[in-house]
Amino acid sequence: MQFVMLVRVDPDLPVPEDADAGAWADEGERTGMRLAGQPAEGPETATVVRVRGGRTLVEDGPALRQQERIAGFDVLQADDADAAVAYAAKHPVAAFGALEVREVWEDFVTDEPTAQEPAEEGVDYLFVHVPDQDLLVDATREGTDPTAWVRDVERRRVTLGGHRLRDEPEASTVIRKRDGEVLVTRGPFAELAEQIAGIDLVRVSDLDEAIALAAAHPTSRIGTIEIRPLVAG
Amino acid sequence: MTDPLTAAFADEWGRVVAVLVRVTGDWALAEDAAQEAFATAAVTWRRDGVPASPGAWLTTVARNRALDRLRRAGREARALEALAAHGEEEDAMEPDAVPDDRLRLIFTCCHPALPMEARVALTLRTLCGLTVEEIAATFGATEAAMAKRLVRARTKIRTAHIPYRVPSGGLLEERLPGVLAVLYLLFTEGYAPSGGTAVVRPPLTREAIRLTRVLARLMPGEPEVLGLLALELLQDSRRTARTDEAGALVPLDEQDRSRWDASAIAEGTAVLALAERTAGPAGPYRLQARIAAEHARGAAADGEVVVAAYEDLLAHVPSPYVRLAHAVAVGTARGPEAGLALVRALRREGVLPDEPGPSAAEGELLRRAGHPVEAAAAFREALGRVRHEGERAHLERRLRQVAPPGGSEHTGT
Repeated sequence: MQFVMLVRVDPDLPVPEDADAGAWADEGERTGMRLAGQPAEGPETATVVRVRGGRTLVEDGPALRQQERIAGFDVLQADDADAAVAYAAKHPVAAFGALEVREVWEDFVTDEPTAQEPAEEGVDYLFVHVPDQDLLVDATREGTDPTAWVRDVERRRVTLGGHRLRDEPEASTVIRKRDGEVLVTRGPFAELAEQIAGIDLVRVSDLDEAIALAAAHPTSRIGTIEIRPLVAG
Repeated sequence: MTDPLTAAFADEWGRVVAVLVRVTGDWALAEDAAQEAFATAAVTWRRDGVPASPGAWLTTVARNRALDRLRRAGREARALEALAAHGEEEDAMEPDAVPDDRLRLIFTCCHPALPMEARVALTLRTLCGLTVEEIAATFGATEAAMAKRLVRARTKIRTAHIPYRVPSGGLLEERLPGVLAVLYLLFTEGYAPSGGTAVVRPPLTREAIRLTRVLARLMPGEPEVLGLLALELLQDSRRTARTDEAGALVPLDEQDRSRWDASAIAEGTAVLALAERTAGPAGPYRLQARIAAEHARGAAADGEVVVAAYEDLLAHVPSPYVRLAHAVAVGTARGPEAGLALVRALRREGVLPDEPGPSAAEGELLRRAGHPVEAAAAFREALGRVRHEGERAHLERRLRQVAPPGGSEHTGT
C-alpha cells in the first residue's frame, strides 16, 4: 500500500538543532518503505490559485488555516497502515510537529501521472489540492476529472509524479510524539473543509508557469491549489 | 529652483534599480548599489555640476558599486560576469535604452503572489526610492516591521521564482488590473489615508501619479492605464478644496471651486478623452474617471451620466461601496427619496459595511429630503464609526445643520 506522509510544522516554533531527517530517510530507503520525498520551502513562499467564473485568481498563500503548516512530504510503501505509522513515528518532526499519514487512493491509478523523464533544469513545486466542499457538491464527474491534465503534464514532461489521497476518516492518521510518548490519532488532521485531496509535483521554469499549470487543473475550479516551491538540490 | 539632484532622483531612481535588478537578479544589491550611486552624485554633482546624461552616469556608478560589493563578498558568480558584460554595452546605459526594465520592475513588484502590503512597500522602495523609514511612516508601521516586510518580499521573489519579466499576451491582460490596483492604492493612501490625522499626504499622491504616467508612457494607448491616470488627476485636482482650514472634509457640492486645479482637470479630461477612443466596454478605472470628470464640471455636471457610469461600474465591481455610491448618485440626479429607497434596500440586504460611509450617505440624503430628525440620527450613527479626524469634523458640522445644539430640533420641511 502506498501512503503520502505530510510533514507538518508550526513555523513560529523554533526547530530543534538535532532535527535531521537524514537518518530517517536512509532507513526508509534501506527497508524500501520510503519511495520519495522532499522538504518544502516555508509557508511564506506559498501561492494559492483558484479559478472562479473563468478568471484565474492568484494570492499569497498558504491555503490552509492550521498553524501547523506543510513543511514537506514523503511517499511511503508498507504492507498496512500500522507499518507506515510505525515508520512515520520515528521521524524527528514527530517530537515538535505532526505527521499526517494518508492512504493513497490507488483505484485512481489511471489518473495518477507517472513521472516521465522530466527536464533537468527547472524549479520544483509541490501542488497541494484542497477542494472546497461546497463547490464539490455541485461538481460533475467531468468537472473533477483530472485525466486530461495528467496526460498533458506527462506529454510536456513537467510532472514529477502525483498522488490522490483517500478522504475517508479511517484512511488518515496523525502522529505526534510528546514527552517521548507516541500519540496516534486515527482520523483527519483538520476539518473536512481543509482536507487535502492530493498532491502533484511539477518541474517548470518559474512561478508563472506553475500558476498556469495549477489554473488548468480541475481542483482550481472547485477549490484551491497551493503552490509551494520545494527546497532545491 | 529645484535642486537638480532631487529632480534627477525622482526620475532616475526607478530606472537605475530596474536595470540593476535585471542584470544582477538581486533586489537588495540593486537597491544598495543605487543608494550608493545617488549618495555619490549628491557630492560630485554639487561640485562638478549635473552631467549631460544623469541617468547614464548614475547607472554606471551603481553598476560599479554592485561589482565592488560582489567582489568583496567573494561572489565571483554569473552576476559578476553579467555586470561586467553589461558595462560593454554603452547604449544600455542610456535611460530607456531598454524601455522594458521599469515595466518589468512594476509588474514584478505588483505580482499577485506577493501579499498586497508587500507589493505596495516594494513599489515605493524600488520605483519611488522612498526610504524604509518613509514607507513605514506612511503606513503607521515601525521601521523594523517594514524592513522585514521588504526582506520577505524579496525572499519570496527569489525562493518561489517569481519571474522578472513583463507578462505577455493574455497574461498581461490578467495582471494589469493588479498593477493598477497597487498604483491606485498608493494614490488613495496619499489622498485619503486610512489612519492618523493627515487627510492628504501630497508626496504619495505625487508618486502615484508619476508612476502611472510612467506606465502610460510605457504602455501607450492602454485604456485602463489612461483611465487610472485621468482618475488620479481629476481627483487630485480637488486636493486643496477637499479640506477646509480646520482640516475637516468638505463634501463635493460645497467645495470652493476656485481651489480646484484647472490644469489638472484639463489634463485629466484630455487623458480620459484618449481612453474613451478605445472601442469596447469601458473598464473600472475609465468609468470612475468618467464620474470624476463629470463632477469636475461643477454645476454643469450631468447627474444621469454619473448614474449610468456607476451602473456600468457595478458590472465590474458589484461591491456594497459601489452600490452605495450609485444610490447617492441616483439621489443627486433624481431626488433624495429615490436615493434613499436604494440605501434602505441595501440596509435590508445587510450588506453595508460597518463604516461611517453608509450612515453618512443616508444622513445626507435625509437632510436633502427635509427629514432633519432622521438625518441627525444617521449622522450620529456615522460619527460612532469615524476612522480619522477629518471625517469627524465634517459629520459634526452636518449634524449641527440638522440638529442645532440648544435649539429645538426642526420638524417637517
